[in-house]
Amino acid sequence: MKGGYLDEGAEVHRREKPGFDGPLWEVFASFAARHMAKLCPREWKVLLMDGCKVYASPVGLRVLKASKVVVLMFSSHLSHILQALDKDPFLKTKSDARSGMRALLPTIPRHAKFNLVHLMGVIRRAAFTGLSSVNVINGFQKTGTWPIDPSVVNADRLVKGKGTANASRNVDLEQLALRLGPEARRDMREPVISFGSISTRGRAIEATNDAMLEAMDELAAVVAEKQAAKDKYQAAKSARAAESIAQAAREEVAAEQRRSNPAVVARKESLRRRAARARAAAGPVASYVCAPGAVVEVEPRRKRQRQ
Amino acid sequence: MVKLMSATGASRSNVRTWVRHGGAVAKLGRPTFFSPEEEDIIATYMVSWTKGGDLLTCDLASVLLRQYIADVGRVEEADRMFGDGGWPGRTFFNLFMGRHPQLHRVRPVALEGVRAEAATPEAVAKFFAAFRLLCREFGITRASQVWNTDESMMKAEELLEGAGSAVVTDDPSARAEYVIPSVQNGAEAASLVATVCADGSRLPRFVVVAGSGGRLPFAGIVQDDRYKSRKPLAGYLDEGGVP
Repeated sequence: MKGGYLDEGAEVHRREKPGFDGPLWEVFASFAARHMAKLCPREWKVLLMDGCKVYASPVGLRVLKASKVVVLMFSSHLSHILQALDKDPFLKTKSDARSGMRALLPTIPRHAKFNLVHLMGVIRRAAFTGLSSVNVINGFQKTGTWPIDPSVVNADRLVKGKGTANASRNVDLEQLALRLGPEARRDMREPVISFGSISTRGRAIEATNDAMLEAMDELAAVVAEKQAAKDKYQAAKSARAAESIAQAAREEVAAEQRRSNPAVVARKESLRRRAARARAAAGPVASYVCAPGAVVEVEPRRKRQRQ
Repeated sequence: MVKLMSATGASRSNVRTWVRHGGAVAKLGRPTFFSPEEEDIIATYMVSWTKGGDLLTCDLASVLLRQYIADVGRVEEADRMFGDGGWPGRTFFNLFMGRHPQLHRVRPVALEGVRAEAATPEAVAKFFAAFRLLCREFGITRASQVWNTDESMMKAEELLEGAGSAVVTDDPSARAEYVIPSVQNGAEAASLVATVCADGSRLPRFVVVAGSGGRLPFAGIVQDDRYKSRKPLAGYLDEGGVP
């Protein structure tokens, strides 16, 4: 039954925090590659996506490339302008999720909890309407990503709030794209490493390009090396902790053995007997005897207030 | 008079008023605080203010107009017209916007500072240049070859809290509350990963839910005979799956 469901469609995965990490992104990459390869197997396809650090996995990208999918990552912090899904599809999905929830609420029995099945139902309905063909096509058109049309992007919005010099600029994105073509060609295939990852600041990158994949491999190797060193340090630290615990346990056992030594036990018994004899010889004594020279301190009495 | 009435189709009263004012349209109501020329200059100034990317709220416009009123020495008149303090208020702006239809009210959308900084014409143009180059090199000519993928978080608590709708009551001051169920552990949020094509098609949904372990999750269903069965959650997402 599970196979039947999964072969034909959706997949649900678990992670402590819902969202991608490295291994799960690789699972998704193989999922996407498998499905996209079925659609037009002989043609190359371009996958536009944001340049999140998690997505820069050489394994996942190679899987996509093997299925004739070339990945173009947006410049950082530009997905709100260029990402088709961020326009109509996700906006409508979220709004439909709220209305779906409104319809679902009365059907949940009193004292029952909102569970994963309810959440799946809401997502299913919302995605069905939100990710409709019309919304998806509108999303691509509104971002100018298909048909490719830079003039769709509101250039005024890009120059406003960046000083008077920029505000007075008259920008033609079409012309600018033509002029910056050679620079874009160089940037998209030349990896620039910044803070331990490939930078997408102000540049779109072809992530499935060989140079990019090699750079990602090197970064992954550095990360793996660092992780190995960290694991080694952690293992040594754990071994030291285990050794100190074992040492404490050994000392405890040795102390216990000393305490149960017949000679020590006999000595202790003899001391106890001697003390008992001394007490018997002294007779009854008061519980608290003031030792000579001792100073007894009592709590100071508070002064009474005069009326 | 009769000739004008038959030519324009207007009533005798309208034609009389028109003749009395020498052809100019008679203005109804009390005169505005600023002259029409001043209002035109204010409207032009408002437009040029927003050209630089600065947002002009009604509060800010009110402050600027108050300064102008003080400069031209009409404070007492403004006090009489706009009330104590002489600040042009909401009513003034509603009427002002009505007289200047070229101005519109737009609610601003929040944008992170880093996004505002990064969104330059050069960065956008370079993306399009790179995209065109890729399309040329890989023979991307049809919509079915262009895809986009992204993830979106669905938080149960947020959706539940936003699910309220207006209710009918006879007491306008009544406080209406609707009860929402508590959220089961593990159902707090899910990440929906969508992969869509420019031709309108899309890949099946890929969802990541909260919870430990990497196994594909199942839902425990209690049947009529109290026998418990397990169904994969993915089945709930398929259009042909469990409703």
